[in-house]
Amino acid sequence: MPDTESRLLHAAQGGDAKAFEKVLRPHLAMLFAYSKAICGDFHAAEDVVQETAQIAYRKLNFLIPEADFAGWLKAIARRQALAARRSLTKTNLVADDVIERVYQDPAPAASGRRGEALTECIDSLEGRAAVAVKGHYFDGVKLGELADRMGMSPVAIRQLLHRVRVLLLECVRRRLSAENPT
Amino acid sequence: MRKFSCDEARAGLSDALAGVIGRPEANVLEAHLLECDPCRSLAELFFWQDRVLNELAAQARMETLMARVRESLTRTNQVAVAAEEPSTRFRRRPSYGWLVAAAGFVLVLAGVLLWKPASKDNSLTKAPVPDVREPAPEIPQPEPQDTVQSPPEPPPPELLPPVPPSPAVAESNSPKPVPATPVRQPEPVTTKNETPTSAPIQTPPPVRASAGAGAEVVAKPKTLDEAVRSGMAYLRAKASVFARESKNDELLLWTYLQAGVQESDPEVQAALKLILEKKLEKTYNVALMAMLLEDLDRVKYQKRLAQCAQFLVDNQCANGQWHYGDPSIFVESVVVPPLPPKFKGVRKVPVTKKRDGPATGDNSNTMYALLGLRACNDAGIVLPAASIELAAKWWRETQSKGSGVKAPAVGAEGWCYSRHDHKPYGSMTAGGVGSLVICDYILGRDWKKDREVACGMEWLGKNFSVTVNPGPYEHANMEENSQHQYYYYMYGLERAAILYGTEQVGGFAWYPKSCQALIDAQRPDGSWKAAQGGSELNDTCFAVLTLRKATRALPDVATVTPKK
Repeated sequence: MPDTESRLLHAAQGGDAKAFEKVLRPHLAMLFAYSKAICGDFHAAEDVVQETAQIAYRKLNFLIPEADFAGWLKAIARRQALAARRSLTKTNLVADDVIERVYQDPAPAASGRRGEALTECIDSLEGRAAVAVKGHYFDGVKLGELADRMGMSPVAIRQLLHRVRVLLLECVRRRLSAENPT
Repeated sequence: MRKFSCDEARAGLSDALAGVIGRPEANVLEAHLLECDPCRSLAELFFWQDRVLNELAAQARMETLMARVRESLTRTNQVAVAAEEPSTRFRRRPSYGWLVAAAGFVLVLAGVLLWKPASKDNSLTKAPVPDVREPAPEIPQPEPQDTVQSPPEPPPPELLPPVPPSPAVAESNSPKPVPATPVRQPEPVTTKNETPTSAPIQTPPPVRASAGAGAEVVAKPKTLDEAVRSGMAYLRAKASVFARESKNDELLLWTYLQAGVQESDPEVQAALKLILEKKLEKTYNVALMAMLLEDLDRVKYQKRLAQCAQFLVDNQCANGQWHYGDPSIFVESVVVPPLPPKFKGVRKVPVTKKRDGPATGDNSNTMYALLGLRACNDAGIVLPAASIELAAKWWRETQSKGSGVKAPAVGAEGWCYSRHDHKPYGSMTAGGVGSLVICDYILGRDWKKDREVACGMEWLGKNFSVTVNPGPYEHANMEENSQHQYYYYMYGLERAAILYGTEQVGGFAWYPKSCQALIDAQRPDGSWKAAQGGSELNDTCFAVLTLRKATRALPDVATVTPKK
C-alpha cells in the first residue's frame, strides 16, 4: 500500500471523512466501470459506487494495513453490483472471469500506451458513432431512448454500438502497429 | 441447446456490454465463450475497451460521484453519532425532584426547630425562614411520556429516509447501505387484499408496540429494505444463541449472504471458516453449505462442493428420498484435479454413488438435498443421472391423486411429508414443485411441460395463501390452514415460484403479497415470532430469505441441454 494511501487510510479510520474521500477518489472511476460491467446499468452503477463508499467507510476498521485497498473496494462493489444486477435482471453474468481479469489491475485502464491510443480513437469518432458513444457511455442514456433520440430502431442502435466497438479495436491496432511496425 | 456462430457471439457480447442481452442468449453466449478461444480473446478486448470508456465517463462525472459519496459519508457519520449517543427519546432527563424534596425537608425541619408557639417575639417571625410554599428554584416538570407526543406523520414507505430508524439498528452493521435516491423496491407491494391486483403498497397505520420496561414506541411502517435490515440486526445480535441452539450455521450464513452482508465481514469469515472445516454429517447442513459455497465462489470451493455432492448422493435412500443423513467415508476420497493454466470456468467433476442410503427418508430433507444438488450441478459437478431420475420418480409417484383429474389434464395435486394417505399441504407441495423442477433442470427437461409440476403449481394456486401454511398439517392433527411451519412454507413458496419461473401463483402476485405479509408480521425488534413447530431464529432466517428472493432463477427452459 503506498505511503500516502496508508496515511490517509489511517486518518480515515480515525473518522476523518475528508481523508477517506481523498483516498477513495483515485479508485472511483475504476469502481464505477467495474460496477457497470457487472450490473450492466449506468445509473445502478452510480448507486453501487455510492453504496460501496458507504460500506467501506463504515467497515474501514476491518481493513488491515497490509491489505490491498483497491481490491477490498472491488470486493465490496462486486457484491453490491451483483445484488443490483439481480434486482434489474435475472440474466446470469456473462464472462465473469474475463471481467475479473480485465479489472485485475486497479490502475486507470487508459494510462498505458494502448489506453492512450484508445482514448485518441474515441476522440476521433464522428457522426452517429460519436453521438451513440457519448449518449450511451457518457450520459447514461438507455438504449431505447437513445434509439428514439437518434431516430433509429433499438436493433439498429445495438448494431451501431457493436460496429463502433469493432472499429475502435481496429483503430487501436492500427495506431499501435504504426508506432511499432515490427 | 441452441448454439451461436462466432459472429452471433460477438454481437451478443456487445449486447451483454450494453446490458441488453436476453436470458437465453446470455446462456448460449456463455457456453460459446467457454469453447471458443478467439471469441474469449475478443471478449477480453471488448471488456477492456468498455472499462476505458466507462472510466473516462466516470472521470467526466467525477464531481457528481464525489458529491454522492460525500452525502453518504455524512449520513454514515450522522448514524454513527446517533448510535453513540443515547437516544433522546429514551434518555431520562435529569430529575430535580429529589432536590425539591430535600429542600422541602430541610425547610420543614428548620420550621419545626425554630417554631415557638407561645412566643410573641416578633423577631422570630422575622427569622430568615423561607416560605415553604414558595416554588423556589425552577422545578422541572416530570418528563412527559413518549407516547404522549404525537409521532410525526410517517412518509410513504418508499420515501422513508434511508437512515436506520433506531440506534439499535444503526449500531448493527446494516447489510445494505441505502442509496441517496429513494429506495428501489424490486416489486410493487400489494395490499392485504388477496385478489390479483397490481395496486401499490398501502401504508399501514403506525402501530404501537410495547418496548419493555413500560416504555412504548411507535413502530413506523417499513420498507422492504428496512424489514430486512432490522431482521439482520436481530440475527446478528443473536448469532451466538443461534450457533448454540440451532446448530445450523449454514442457514444463518446463507441468510447473511442473501441479505447482502459482505464476504469480507468478520462474522461471515468466521462462520465460513467453521463451515469449511466441519465434517459433513447432516443433509440439511450439507445442502445449505453447497448452496452458499456455490453462491460465493463455485471455482474456489469446487472441491468442497464435490464433497457435498458425494455426501448427498451417498445418502440418497433406496426409494429416491433423503433422510437426515450420515457421514460418508467416500467424501474424503473426492479428487478435483488442479486447473490447467489456461483453463477458464469450472471443471466438470463427475461424482458417482458409492454406497446405499437407508430405505426411506422424508420430503423435507429431500427438498433440501435437491437444492444442494442443484448448487453442485451449477458448480460443474456431474451428478449421476440415475440418482436424479430416482428422486424425480419418487416425487411423481407420491403426488396426491385426489382431484380426480386424469392425465394428461392438470388438476390440483400436491404432497405431504412422505408416502401415505394424507392430503397435500402447502409447505410440502411447494417443496415438491421446487424439487421436481430441479430434477427436470438437471436432467435437461422442460419443467414447464411436466404434468406433475403443473399439478403442484395448480394446487399452490388454488390454495394460495401468504398468511397460513395451507392444507391439513399432518403433524398437528390435520389442522387446516394453520400456522404450523408457516415461515418454512413461505420460503418454500418463494423457491417454487422462482424455480418454476413465475411472478404469479394462481393469479396472485406471490412476491408482493409475501412481502406485505412478512413485513406486517415482523416484530419491533426485527424478529419474526416462531411459527408453531418452528423456531424464532430459523423462522427469522426464512422470512429474510423470502423477502430477499434468495433463490436464483434457473436458465430458460430452451437453453437447458437435454441429457441423453
